Amino acid sequence: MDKKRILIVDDDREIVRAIAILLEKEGYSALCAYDGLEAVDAAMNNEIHLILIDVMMPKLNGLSAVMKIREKRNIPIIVLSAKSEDTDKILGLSMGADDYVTKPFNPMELVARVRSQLRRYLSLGDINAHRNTSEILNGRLSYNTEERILKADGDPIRLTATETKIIDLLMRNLGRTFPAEEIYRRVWNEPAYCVENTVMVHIRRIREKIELNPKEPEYLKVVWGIGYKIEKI
Amino acid sequence: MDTKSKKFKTIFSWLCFFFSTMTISVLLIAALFYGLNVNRADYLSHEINDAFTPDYQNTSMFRQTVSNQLGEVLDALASETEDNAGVWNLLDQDSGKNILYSAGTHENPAEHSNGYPGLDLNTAPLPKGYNFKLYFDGKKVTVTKDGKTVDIYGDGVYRPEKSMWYVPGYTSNTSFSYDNMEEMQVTLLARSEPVTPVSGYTSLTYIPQAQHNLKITLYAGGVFLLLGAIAFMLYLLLRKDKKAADLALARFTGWFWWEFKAICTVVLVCLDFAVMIHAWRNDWFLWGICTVISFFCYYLVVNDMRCNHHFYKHNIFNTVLKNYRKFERSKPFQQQMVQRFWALLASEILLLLFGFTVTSMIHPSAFFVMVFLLLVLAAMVYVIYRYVRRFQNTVYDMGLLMNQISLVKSGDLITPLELPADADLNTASVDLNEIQLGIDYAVEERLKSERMKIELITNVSHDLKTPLTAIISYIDLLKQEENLPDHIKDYIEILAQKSDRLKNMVQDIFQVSKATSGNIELNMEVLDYGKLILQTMADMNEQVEASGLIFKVNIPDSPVMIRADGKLLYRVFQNLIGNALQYSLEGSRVFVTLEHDGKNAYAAVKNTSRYELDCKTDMTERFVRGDSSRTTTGSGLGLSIAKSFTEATGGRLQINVDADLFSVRVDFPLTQQ
Repeated sequence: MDKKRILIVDDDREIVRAIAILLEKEGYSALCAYDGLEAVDAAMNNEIHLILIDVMMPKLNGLSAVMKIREKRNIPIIVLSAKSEDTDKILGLSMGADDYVTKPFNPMELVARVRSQLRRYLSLGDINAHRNTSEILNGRLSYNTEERILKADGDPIRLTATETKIIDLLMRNLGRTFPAEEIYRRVWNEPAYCVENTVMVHIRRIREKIELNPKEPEYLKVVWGIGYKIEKI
Repeated sequence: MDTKSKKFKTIFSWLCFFFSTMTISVLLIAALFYGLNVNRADYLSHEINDAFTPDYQNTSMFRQTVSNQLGEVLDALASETEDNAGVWNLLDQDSGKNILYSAGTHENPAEHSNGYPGLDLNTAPLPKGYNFKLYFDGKKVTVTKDGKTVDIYGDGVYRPEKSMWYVPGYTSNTSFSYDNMEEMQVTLLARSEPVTPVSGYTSLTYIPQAQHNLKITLYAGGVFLLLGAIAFMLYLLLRKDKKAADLALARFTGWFWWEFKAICTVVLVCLDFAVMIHAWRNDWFLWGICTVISFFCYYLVVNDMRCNHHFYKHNIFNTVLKNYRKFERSKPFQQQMVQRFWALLASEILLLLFGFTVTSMIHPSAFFVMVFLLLVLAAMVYVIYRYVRRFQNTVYDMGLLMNQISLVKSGDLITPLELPADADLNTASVDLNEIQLGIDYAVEERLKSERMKIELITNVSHDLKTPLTAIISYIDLLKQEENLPDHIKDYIEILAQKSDRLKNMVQDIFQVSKATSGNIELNMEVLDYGKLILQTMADMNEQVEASGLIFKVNIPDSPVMIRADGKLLYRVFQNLIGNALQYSLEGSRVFVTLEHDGKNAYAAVKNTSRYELDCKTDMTERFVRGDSSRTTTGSGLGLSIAKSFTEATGGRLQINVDADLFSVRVDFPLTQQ
């Protein structure tokens, strides 16, 4: 299998170089661009599998470049930006980006996100081929209710029995918030008393298995003062 | 030169106007007088006709004179008494013998005569110098002029307006009726040119003189009419300059008090009536002068009223008031108000005293006293009216001022309050407007600096984050290098730790700045306060267990519902517990409690500090830390973030330091569900 080619765009050459080295170590080939126009040119004229692009750049800003590229190419695009506001993230994602990483990022997390996006793009691209009534799909996650197997980016994840029960409850009720007591009653089948810690410990362990950055979870979230849920994406 | 000529032009144009209007109006009045009376109009036409008839015998005056003469002779004949001897005497005494007569009966035609006694002038040839003969035969009159008989009767109806001969013989005329008229026979002869008599008297000689006078009068009238027309044309050409003259006159007359002008006008009107009654047809010269002068005066009054908009306002009362206000203005408002009341009282008393003094000093005429007292009373009422009106205005302005103050308070910094310049509260309104402007400016400035601050924070945070990204990336790359000596690996580890801390600090600064500037997005929801604290504790379970501290958690089982942004509140407690973990004395207890009194919920985190605390430092200040040496990790923003986030989401955070006991209380109002 040949190397996947990744286009890295940022006006800061050192950052581009660092990311390039990082990704090459992981076995990808990197292509560099330093402004929006170069990025659009490179994306149009080369076979590229993923784009990492900064927002604030000279000549053509990152989001405009994303929109231009989106017109022709259907490759995953990850936006790298120093803007960390929710509104910035929503704007970036709605402009056609697949993921939004705020600077300063953890290099390992970035690599994990790149891998995740590529895997979904290359091997799980066609949703309909795998369409199965017992399969619940949610972003990177897919859960088979019959086999009780949770997959992230297509890779099965090893979960303990309790963790599987929690996942089963939350995946079947995507977006619904469950108080810790309810989770405890339904998973442990015991009356709940002072269970916050117990539930939280399990939640944290599941997060470490399914989230790219467990400190800032995307899927398994705490609703503060109410309970827990898996975000519907 | 230019201004001089302009001045001249102005005066000239005004004079033209005045002259033309005077002439034209006088002529118009004259025409009106004649036009109102039809007979007069005919008179005028006869008079004009007479003035330009060369032969005096063709004038209506001649006809009238000779007719009268005939009438008198007939009267004398009809009653032969001593009284009528005067008629003959008058005719006889005329030394010029302008009229020759012979009067009597058919039997004795020359019973009376002044020429040739006994000679019947009718049958005798005309003497030299005489060319006119009037013969009355007892029934009709025959006029012969220069040997030709003149038809004097026309259709036989007497028409005075046509200046016919007023003689007997008309079919319609009955005014001549004497018992023995049929027997009378009269002949009158008139000279072709009247001779001025040396002694005696005849009216005929006055006819040419009257003709002459009339001619001169008519010529003068025509000349005046012409001059008036020319002047009027000039006025029309220069009417702009005339307007300037009007304005100048108005400026001059506007200087006088209204009362003075009113009295003058009344006096003038009375005077005019007196002159009209006295001098009309008696003293034309006086009448003319008076007319011109009063016309000028009335013109001044009308012009004043037309040009001065505040015609009535410049009066004695207002002048007094204006001076009082000038005196008043130097005093403070409260004194003004009180003094004004006293001034009102004083002026009322003065007016009353004045009225009584004047009426007692002059001889008591009931009518005059009443009129004068009524005037004084009116003045008193007027003074009160003016006071009340002023008071009302001031009260109204006070209301406006108060409204404006509340408007300014509620944030309207644009609309100024415009009070009239002479209002009592004008200075206050001006001051208020200035304050308003000042506040507006200050708010603008603050908003600007606030905006700049936020921009600065955003930019700085971006500028910090970019190099930090590079640093972290390269440290990560370094970490992956395998063949490095151990001490280098230690260095890299330190770099990794510090860069991580730097990253956290940058994020914290960004967040606390946003929270304090109120630029944070809130997602308010109703949540269980107790559960939130428990969740936070569970989230930080690992650190809690690793710290070796004993956490005493006391939270009620029943839900404590409050309204807040869960994420922010989680950050608050994360910081508070993190703070406790970092600064607590090893092995000591940390108390996390939640209570409520039905109205508010009080959560508290209490710990025993490892360091000695300075009570005076405000722990929520940014970058203030328990240990001033700043050796430990932490951005020094923990409590600052906690406080600003609590306040942003609607709660209250209090810090209490009692010796080494450090307690933080976070209050929220309960939500009723």
